[in-house]
Amino acid sequence: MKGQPNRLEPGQHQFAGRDIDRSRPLRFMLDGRMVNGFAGDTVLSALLANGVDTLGLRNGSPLALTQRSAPLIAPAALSEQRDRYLPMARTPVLDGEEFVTVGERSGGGLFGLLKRAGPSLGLRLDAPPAPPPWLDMAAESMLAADLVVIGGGVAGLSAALAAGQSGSTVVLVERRAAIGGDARLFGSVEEEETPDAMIVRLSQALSRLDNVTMLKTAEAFAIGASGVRVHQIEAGSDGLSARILTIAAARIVLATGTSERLPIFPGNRLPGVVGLAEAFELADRFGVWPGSRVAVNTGTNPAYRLAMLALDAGIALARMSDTRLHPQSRFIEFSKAYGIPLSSGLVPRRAAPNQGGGLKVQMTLEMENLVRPEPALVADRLILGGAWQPELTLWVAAGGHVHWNGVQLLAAGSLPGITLAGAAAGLRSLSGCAQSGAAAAATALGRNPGPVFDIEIDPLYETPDAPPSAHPAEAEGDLPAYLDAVDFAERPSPEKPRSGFFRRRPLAARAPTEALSMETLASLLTLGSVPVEEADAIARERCLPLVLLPHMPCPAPRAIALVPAYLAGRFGSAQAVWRIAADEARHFEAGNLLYPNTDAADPHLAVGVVLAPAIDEETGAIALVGEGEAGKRLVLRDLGRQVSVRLVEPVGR
Amino acid sequence: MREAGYAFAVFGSSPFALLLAGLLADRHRRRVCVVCRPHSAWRLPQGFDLSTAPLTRPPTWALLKSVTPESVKLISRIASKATIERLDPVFVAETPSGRDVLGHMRHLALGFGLAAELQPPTGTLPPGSSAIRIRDAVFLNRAVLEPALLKWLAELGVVRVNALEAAAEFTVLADDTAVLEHGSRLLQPHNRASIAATRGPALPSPLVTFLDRGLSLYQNADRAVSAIGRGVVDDVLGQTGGILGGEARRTGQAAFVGALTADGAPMLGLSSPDTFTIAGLGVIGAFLAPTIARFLAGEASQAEADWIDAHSPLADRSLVAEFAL
Repeated sequence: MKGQPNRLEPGQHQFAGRDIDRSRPLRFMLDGRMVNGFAGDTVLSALLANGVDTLGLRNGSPLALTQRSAPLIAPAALSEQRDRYLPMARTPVLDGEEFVTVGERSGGGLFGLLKRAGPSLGLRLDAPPAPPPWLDMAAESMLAADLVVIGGGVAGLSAALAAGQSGSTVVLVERRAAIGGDARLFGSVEEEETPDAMIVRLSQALSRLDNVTMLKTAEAFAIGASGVRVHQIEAGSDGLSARILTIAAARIVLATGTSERLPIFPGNRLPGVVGLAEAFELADRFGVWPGSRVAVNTGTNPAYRLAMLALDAGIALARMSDTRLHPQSRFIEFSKAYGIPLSSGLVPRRAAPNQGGGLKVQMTLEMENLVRPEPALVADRLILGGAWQPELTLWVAAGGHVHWNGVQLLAAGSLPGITLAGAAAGLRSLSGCAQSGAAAAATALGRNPGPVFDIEIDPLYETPDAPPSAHPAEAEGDLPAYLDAVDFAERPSPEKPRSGFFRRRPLAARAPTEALSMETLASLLTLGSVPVEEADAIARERCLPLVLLPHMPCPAPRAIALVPAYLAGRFGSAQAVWRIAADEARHFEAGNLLYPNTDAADPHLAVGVVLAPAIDEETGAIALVGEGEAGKRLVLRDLGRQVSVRLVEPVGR
Repeated sequence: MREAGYAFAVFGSSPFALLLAGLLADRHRRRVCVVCRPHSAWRLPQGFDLSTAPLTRPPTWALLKSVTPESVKLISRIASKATIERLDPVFVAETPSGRDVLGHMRHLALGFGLAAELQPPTGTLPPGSSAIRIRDAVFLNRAVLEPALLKWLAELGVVRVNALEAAAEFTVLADDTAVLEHGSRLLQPHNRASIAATRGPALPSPLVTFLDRGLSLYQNADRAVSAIGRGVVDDVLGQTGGILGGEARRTGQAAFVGALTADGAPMLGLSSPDTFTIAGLGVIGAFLAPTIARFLAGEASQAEADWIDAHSPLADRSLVAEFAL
C-alpha cells in the first residue's frame, strides 16, 4: 500500500476496511499533494491513511484533522464557486480528481495552491470555521414522501422498514456512504442479534420495498416549513457533484444517533488524539489506523471492544486505562482474557507533543481522597472514550426542548410531526434502538407504537458510562483545552482567561454572540459553568444553525400628527400651533426650543418648540407655543446662537 | 403578615429591579426580599442599559442627568469597572416622524448640556437616514453586572424567595416581566426578540438605535452584534439583517414578552393599595434606581416625587407621553 502508512494490512479481522475495495487503488490531488487511496475511501480517510493528520495551527498549536473538524474542499478548477464546496469527511474519492481545501492558508491566499507535503493541511485557524454554503442555497430538487427518516443506523433503518412495510412512502437520509451507524462499535448483548446480522437483515428487507428511497452521502441540515433540506454528494462518470434537495413530508423521524464528546484537558485536540467512535469508524470502514504505540483512555465500555478488535488485527496497545475505579463490563472480562494490561481511576490531565515524536500524555490516579500523578506515557495515538451526546441539533433547531440529566442533554417534550428514535432518543441497546425506530415510525404515522425494551445491564456487571473528565489548563500559556471537536470554544484558566474564543474576558462576561454546539453546551454543563436549570433555554437560544440574516426594509412611516402625542401638554394646557418667522433667513428644524428671552437656556423654561420648517418660507416654521399672541417675540436658541422670532398667526384654528 | 415579613418584596430580575432591592436594604435600611429569576451570561440579553434614550420630556432628562452620576458611582462600587462602558450612542431615523423625534431629542440633550452631534452618513447606516450621536453616555455590561448584583444582595441580607414566600408590607413589581406575570391591566404585552449575529460591518458606534425599526444594536470589540427589537423573532432577524446586510449570520435568537404602556412613557405607581408597579422604563431603568428607592422609602426630593407622581397610572398620562421605541 504505497504511500499509505496508516492503512492496516488486509486479513481476517474486522479492521480490514469494509467500505474500501483494495483491488481498485486510485490517486487524487489535494492542494498539489498526491494522495493514494482506494475506491470507497472518503477524501478524509485517504488523507489520514496517507499520514496527513493535522488541520493547521491555532495560536501556535497544531489542531488534529478529524471527522468533525475536517474542512470544506472544492474541485481545483471550480474553487471560486462556493456552491461547489464539498465536505471533506463525506466526499468519496475518484481517481484523478484535483481538490483544494477551503480556508485561509499559512503561505497566503484562500486556496493554497503551492505543493504541500508533511502531515498538515496548513490551514490558518484564527477564526471558527465558516458554515457550509449549502445552508444558504436554494433547493434544486424536490422530493415528497409520507415520512422522512434522518439517520441510517439501526433505528433509522427500522423506522424506514416499518413505515415502508405499512405502505407509506419513505425517504431515508444517511450522511455516510454506508448504513448501520455506530452499531458495530457498540455491539450486542447475549441473546441479541449481532449488529452485522441486523444491518444486513434490515438492508435486504428495505431493498425489496419500492416505496422506500435511500439517500446516502446525504446530510439533512435543516427542517423547515417546506420540509427537510438535504445536501447530497453524488459520484458519477463525469465526476463529483452535489445537490440540495427539499423533501416535503408531514412526518419526520429523527434517528440521528449520538456524537462523541471530548474529555476536557490541555492538548485534547492535538494531532494523534482521537475519539473512540472515530477511531473505530476509520478502522472498521477504511482500515485506517495511524500509529503503532496506541494508548486508550475511556470512561465507556465500548472502548474495550475496540481494544479487542485492534488486537485481533495485530495492533498492540501501549496502555488501556479507565477513568472509572474498578469498572465492570463483559468487554473488560474479555479484554483481560486477551491479556490487555488494564488500569482504572486514571484521568488524562495533559497531552503535549513529545520531543522524540508522538504524544506525551500525563494522567493522574484519582480515587476518593487521592490524586496522584502517574509517570508520563508516550504514545503515537491517544484514543479517548469520552461520553455520548444524543445528536439533537435538528431537534432543537426545529423548536424541541432538552434537559440535562447530569451526563447528557436529552430531548424533552414533543414536537408536532417529529419523532425521535434510537440513540438520539436516549436508547442504548441495539435491540432497543431497533424497536424504537419501528415505534417512532408507527407514532409518526398515527399507529400504535408498541412497547420498546431497552436492555439495561445491572451496574454490578456493566459499569455505567462516566461523564467525560474535565480539567482546566494548569498554567498560563498551556495548550488549550477545547470544549468540543468542531468549534474553538475552550476552557480558559480560571486565573487569567486565555486568548481565543473568549478573548480576555472574564468567564461571566462572555458576550453571548458566538453560536454553541450541543457538545460545547454539554461540556459547559459538565464543568458547572452553565446553570443546569438554564440548559434548555441556552440550547434553544444558541445551539442553532448559522443561517444568513434575512433583510427587511424599514417599516412604513407612521402617520405624522401636527402635534405628536409626545408633546401633548408640554407647554401647558393652552399650548397651540403657530406659524413663526425669523427676521433673517435661517434653517429651522423640529426640536428647536423657543425661550421667552435671551437669558433663559434651561429647557424647563422653554415656552415653545419648532415642529417643522414652514414649507414655502425660508424664514418661517411651525411651532408649538404655550401662550402667545400675534407679533409676540421669542428667542430661538440653537448651538449657542440666539435668533429672534415672532409669532405670525395660529395654525389650524 | 407572616412571621418573616419584609417591608418590601421586590419582584423582578432586571438590573433595575436588583439595584432597587439592594438600595432599599442598604441605604434605606428596610427588610427586603426579592423574587427573581436572573439569567446567566450564557443567555441572550433581554434588555440594554444606557444612560440616554430618545426622550422628549424635559423633566425626565433633568432627572436622568441628576441621578446618573450617583447610579454610576454605586454600580462601580458594587461591580467592577468592567461593568461600565462609556460610549457615544447613535440614534437613527429613517422616516419623517422619526426625524422629528430625533430633532426633539437632540435639542433637549443640548439644552441639558450634553454633546449631541449630527452623525455624518456612513456606509452602515441606511441611505437617506438621519442620525445623531450623544457623547459620553454610560452602557452597562449586564453579563458582569448581574452576578455582582446578586452577590451584593446576598451580602446585604436580601433574601431570594419564591413568589409564595414573598410576604411583605409592600410589593414592588419592578420590571416588565414581573408586571405582566401579575396580570396588570395597565399594560399590554408585546413581542420582543433578542438576536445574536456574527461579525458584521463596523457600526458608527458600539450602540446604535434605529427609532423607526424599534431596534437597538450593540456591537462588541470583535464586531459581533447583539440586537434587541420589537416584534417576533423573524421581524427582528429581518430588521437586523436589513442593517448589517451582506454575510451576517444568526448565532442566537430568543423571543420574550415586554410590557408596553399605551403612551410610551414609564409607569410608576400604586396598582393596588399594597402594590407599587414599575414598568416601561426602557434602557434607562437601572440609572433611575436610586430615585425610585428614595421614593419608596419616603425620602425622595420634591422633584423626584413630582416626576414619579406624574408617571402614576392615576395621573393625566397624556402629559408624560413619550415616543414609544
